[in-house]
Amino acid sequence: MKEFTPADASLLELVDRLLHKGVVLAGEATISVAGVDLIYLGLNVVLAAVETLERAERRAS
Amino acid sequence: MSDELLYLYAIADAAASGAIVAARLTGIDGGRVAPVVEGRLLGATSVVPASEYDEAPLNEHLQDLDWLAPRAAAHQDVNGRLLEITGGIVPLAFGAIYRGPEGVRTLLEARATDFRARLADLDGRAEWIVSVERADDVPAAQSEAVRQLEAEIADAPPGRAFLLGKRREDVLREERQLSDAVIAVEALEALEAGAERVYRETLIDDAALAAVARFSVLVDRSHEAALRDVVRGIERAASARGYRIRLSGPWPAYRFGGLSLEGTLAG
Repeated sequence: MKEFTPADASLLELVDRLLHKGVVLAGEATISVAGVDLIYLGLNVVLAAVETLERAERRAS
Repeated sequence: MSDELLYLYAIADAAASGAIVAARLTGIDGGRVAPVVEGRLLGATSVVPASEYDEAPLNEHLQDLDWLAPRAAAHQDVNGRLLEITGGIVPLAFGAIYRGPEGVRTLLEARATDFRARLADLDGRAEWIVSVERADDVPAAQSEAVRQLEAEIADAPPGRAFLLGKRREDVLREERQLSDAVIAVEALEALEAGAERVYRETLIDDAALAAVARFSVLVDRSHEAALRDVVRGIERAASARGYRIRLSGPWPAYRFGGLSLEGTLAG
């Protein structure tokens, strides 16, 4: 078994965890209350970033 | 318009406010991490420049890996430290940015009940990632069907050998898919027996990637040694069949912090 800490995580793993997952505050319930103030990343942009990374990792491997 | 924005890393119990200030954490782009308290909750924030983090420049930057990589690492560094300092946080996805502390307070107030329930659910726990991967250096066990085909190929004339070779590839692929599915289910069952919560992640559908299954697992910090034992047990069963296991953690609960308490995705 290989064990890694978050500090060893690949960029892909990090971005997958931080951009794909994580609590996104822009559900409709939140936007109606706090959305005026929140600068929210478009989900498509987030997915595009992850896809860009996946392509980069595939090229590198 | 202000030229400064507030980057929000995580939500925590307001009781941790003093400890967060005392820890003098450095956040994204060198900003000092500061708590914004509202009621019994706090948001851990740092100031970032609007020139980089307002919606348009931010969305542009996200496609630039050289820009994103150190900032994603800084986001996780802060949340990793906050997890240790507070014992439990709701970690936010990268890029929750507010125009000022008032917006953070409004959020904390509006969703206080939900955040408090999530914090209670995550308190004293951390998230781990368990990946089941094909080990290229360990050949998978050869089935009887494949052995027979190979014997036939060795004796066959070239045309038939070619067709049998195609058949062999098909059989190998089917066997591998079945073997992948079996090992994934076995790993899931073992993890479910040994962890509080398990979430099977969807995989990128790409044969070039070695992972056949990935799980996010939530465990009490006092049970991490037991999790390692469970994962070692999975690996003992898996390694003879050409797989290896990778364990990564402890992570703040990026996955479980965003799930509803019943286990479905929160909106």
